[in-house]
Amino acid sequence: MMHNNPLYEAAEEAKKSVKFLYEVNTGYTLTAKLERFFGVGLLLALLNLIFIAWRPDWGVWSSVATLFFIGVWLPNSYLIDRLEDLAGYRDLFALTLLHGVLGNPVAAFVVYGLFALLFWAISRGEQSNPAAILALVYVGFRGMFDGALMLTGALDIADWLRFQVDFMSTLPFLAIGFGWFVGSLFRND
Amino acid sequence: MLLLYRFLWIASALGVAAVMIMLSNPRAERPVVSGDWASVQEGRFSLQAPREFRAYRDALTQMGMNKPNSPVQLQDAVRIERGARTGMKITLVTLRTDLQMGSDDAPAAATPDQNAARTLQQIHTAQLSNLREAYADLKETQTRPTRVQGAPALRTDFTFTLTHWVPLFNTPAQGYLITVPVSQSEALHIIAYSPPHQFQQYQPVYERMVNTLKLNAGATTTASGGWE
Repeated sequence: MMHNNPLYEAAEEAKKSVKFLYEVNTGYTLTAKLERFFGVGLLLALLNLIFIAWRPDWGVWSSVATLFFIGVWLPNSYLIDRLEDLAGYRDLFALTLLHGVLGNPVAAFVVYGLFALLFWAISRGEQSNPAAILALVYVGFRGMFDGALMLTGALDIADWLRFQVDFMSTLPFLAIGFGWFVGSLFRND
Repeated sequence: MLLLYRFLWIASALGVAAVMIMLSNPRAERPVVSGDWASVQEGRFSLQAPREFRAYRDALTQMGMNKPNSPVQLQDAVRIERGARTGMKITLVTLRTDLQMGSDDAPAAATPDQNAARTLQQIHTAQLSNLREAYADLKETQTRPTRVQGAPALRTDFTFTLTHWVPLFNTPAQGYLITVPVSQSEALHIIAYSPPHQFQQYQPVYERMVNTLKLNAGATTTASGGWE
């Protein structure tokens, strides 16, 4: 039997160690990162949804607070890098501006994505967009929270679909962006 | 540790789904406003409104009432809105005396009351034509006499479409227009609207707002039709 072969057993042990060292030194696998992020992110989202069901009139502010904590957890789950270079701040500024001008998170994300692709193509792959995953996470959770607010009647879909200059609507995005900044300070590499 | 995260995201995802299903239950009746009301004072108007509503005064509320051939002249206007298709617009107008009111072939009014009723009808009709220009696809469903704080008034219910530059995102709305004379020369237009599925729930909210409405200094009231 191969399993009784001492060499095979030693190799199996080594494989475990290699995997362990890989995770510590070079980061988690994508699946592990996703599980780490959603383990806490979805729990926070669930708590916010329960709060929205209880007090829909405070739903906007509880969503802002939740998105801040999700932003704090994002770099600590290793799903995104720390906010430490100029590109990250540039992306946050661009997304905030688009969000304020368009007044809609999905529209802001789509336009940001198109510009990011365009600049990536122009720079022949040299362009990096550190906030892309943050923006995707933001759109997903914001959509979920706004959907819950619509179901409670606290938010009208006509307001959500309206495209207009509205810098107040950027508040949740600023919260997750500030959370990213704060979370980056606490990540222990 | 990863097993803990795995358990957390699976359990939380199930919890999120459960809460969303609970929230989407159509049998769960929730009040459209929290019950927390505040005083609003804008220009000539003061009233009580739910805290979810915000009051604005701007030129957009004129809605063409100062057109050359309009029988009324805008005095003051306020919007108290919760969103794009939930809110109330209140407009104070003055009857123009420099225009001939009514058509020449109309029979002369027999009494002052009939005359007042005819003037009310004309102002109401003029405002409805303004609304047809302001709102897309406006359809009147019913016009009937009503009373506002004891004063005789006219009410027209209607539906309209809130347009979006992406036609797929056009949304329907339902509302009404009430015209009530507040003096010999002044009238008040009250336009209230909401999403059709919430119209019945917003009706008592709007009624309470109208019942607390007061005109500040500058308004004159008479015994022939107006508010005390």
